[in-house]
Amino acid sequence: MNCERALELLFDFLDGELENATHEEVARHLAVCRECYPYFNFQRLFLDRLAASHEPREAPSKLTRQIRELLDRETLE
Amino acid sequence: MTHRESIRTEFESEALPHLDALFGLALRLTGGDEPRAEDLVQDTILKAYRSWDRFETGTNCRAWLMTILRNTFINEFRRLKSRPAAVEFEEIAERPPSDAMYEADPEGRIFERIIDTEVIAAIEELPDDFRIPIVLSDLEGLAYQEIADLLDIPVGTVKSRLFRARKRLQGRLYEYAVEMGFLR
Repeated sequence: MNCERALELLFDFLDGELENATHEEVARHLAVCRECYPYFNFQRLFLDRLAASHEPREAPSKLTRQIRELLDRETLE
Repeated sequence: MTHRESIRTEFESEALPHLDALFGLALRLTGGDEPRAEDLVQDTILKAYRSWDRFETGTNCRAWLMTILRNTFINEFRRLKSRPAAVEFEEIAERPPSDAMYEADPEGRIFERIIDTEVIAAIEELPDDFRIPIVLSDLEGLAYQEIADLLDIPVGTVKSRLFRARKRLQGRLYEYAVEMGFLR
């Protein structure tokens, strides 16, 4: 595996979309490549950051009220 | 208590605690459009209530509701999409993908300093065709094939949209980091 091929597979690799054999090949390349390893690691941190982003948003009280009214109507029908 | 009322009570205690999470996902999917997100949550709850007998008690209610919300959103999105769009997203001019952020901070320390609100805002700003795959993949953890099936697009298109969306997000977060003085 060369760097060019590894980079083509960057996100397939990080997203866990590769078959085992190819995944292993990329992993072996990363273990020895000083160029690719930090770049892949950076992209991994980026994806982890996206996954960890939870802006706590409370459902508006108006929405909760409307939903209870909706359920009232459904229950009575 | 009638049978209906007891179902109602059971539904409320199982499903309504997840309203905040549902509203959050609805906001992400609609790009922060609050009225649309509220409608989406209402439609979801109504569908869930009407098919409550199909929910297996003891399984993950939150995941079940999130799936209904996702499918409801996508169906609506696909229905609207089937009308000819004024501007196709492929035609929208983009900044060239840039690795400025990596070059400025290869160890990614910046990710610890950027706040959630900013990450979410950057995601919500993306055009539909970029944002929806990102939400489904990077926030909801769906596989490429699942996203392709939901959006009725080829897997290759999912991959290229994710790639471009991620680059765009990095560009946006880089600008924010520079504005905040986290990066020079």
